[in-house]
Amino acid sequence: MMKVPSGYCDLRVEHINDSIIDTYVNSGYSVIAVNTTVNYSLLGVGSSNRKKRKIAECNDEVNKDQDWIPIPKSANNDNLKLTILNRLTIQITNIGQLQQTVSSRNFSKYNILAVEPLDDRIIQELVTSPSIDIITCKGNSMMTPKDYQVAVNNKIYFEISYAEMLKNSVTRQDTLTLAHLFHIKGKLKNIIITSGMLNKSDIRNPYDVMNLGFTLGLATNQSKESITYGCHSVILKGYERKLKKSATNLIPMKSS
Amino acid sequence: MVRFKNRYMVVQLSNFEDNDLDFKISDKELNLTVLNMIKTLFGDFGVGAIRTCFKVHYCNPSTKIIIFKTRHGPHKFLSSIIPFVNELQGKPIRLSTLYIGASLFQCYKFIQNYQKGLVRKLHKTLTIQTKEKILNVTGVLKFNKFQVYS
Repeated sequence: MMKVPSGYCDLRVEHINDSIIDTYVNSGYSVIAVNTTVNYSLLGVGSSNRKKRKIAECNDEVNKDQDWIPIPKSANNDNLKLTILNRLTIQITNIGQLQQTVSSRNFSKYNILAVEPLDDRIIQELVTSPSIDIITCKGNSMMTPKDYQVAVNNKIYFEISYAEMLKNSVTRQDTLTLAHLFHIKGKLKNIIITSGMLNKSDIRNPYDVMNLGFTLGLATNQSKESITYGCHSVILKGYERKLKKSATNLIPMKSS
Repeated sequence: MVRFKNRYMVVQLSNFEDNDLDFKISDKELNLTVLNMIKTLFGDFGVGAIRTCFKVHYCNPSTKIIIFKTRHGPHKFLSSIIPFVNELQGKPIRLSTLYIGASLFQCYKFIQNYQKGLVRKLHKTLTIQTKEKILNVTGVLKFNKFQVYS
């Protein structure tokens, strides 16, 4: 079932259970997306490696022989007000791994695809790819203003997570650096703010998130767009990939 | 003549242990924690801009609703640091903004409606005494020391 997105969204939730769902409903959110992260550079090495076993412990349900991509985390949602989507984040070093992901079987169970490039050279190829919704960057990544412009034209969004800002001073500085990098490269167009929360205490009110945009350098209307219309267009693009047709959201204008 | 504008922020404090009766909010401590947070994010400029006009105007220990008062202008500093305040008296807390108003009367109206909605939601489980405790919002308009601390 595909619902038309509306209201405040949070497109990166790492864990899900009943108390977290309650907190999101009480805060006033209407759409959340549960995240699953796959790191290709760690999965690709031999099975005797210690790192690989660590990853396999984290994702118990990985079927090693058939598919690298795990089944999405499921949650029983009785509340009609809240829509729960599934999001996949892949950390890749070359563009072939992206095609491998798109062609795999479990991929059709996800609504949103986010890509975190570990190598700076592939950003140029990523921004022209039609199957990506979100690009997650680190503060030290090199991106040209032209790449940013191409990404904006292809409706690809960039992400800032605020849960790391709440921890300590160093991670806060990194996030602020990332926000200012986006301002230098493309004047903070196509930005969405997500929580990226690990604990229940990291969840904040939508009003607080909009006020937090002031520290990131967003204007008032930009910070409002970053958790409403921007997220809606990401979700609609995900539907478009599933249906093989474009999806648009029509809102009737009130005659005044 | 140009009017002197103020901003009043209605904020709710939630601590994660529900049955913690020892947890008492004092406005001096709140004042200090918020000013310290402004100092870490905006430095000396932020503290200097906000210190003359910043004040904890009202805090209700039973419902944990707080009103901050600032001048119009530096209220942007205050509203953007509220998500970062996550510790008071060594315990994890969370502040969440409910409303930003320009006059105390509008804030008072909002709090009254908010508490009524809360009572309506928990209608069956509450006793009459707790209902009265929740709906008691005196001390917002008349700034009296005895009423604020009681």
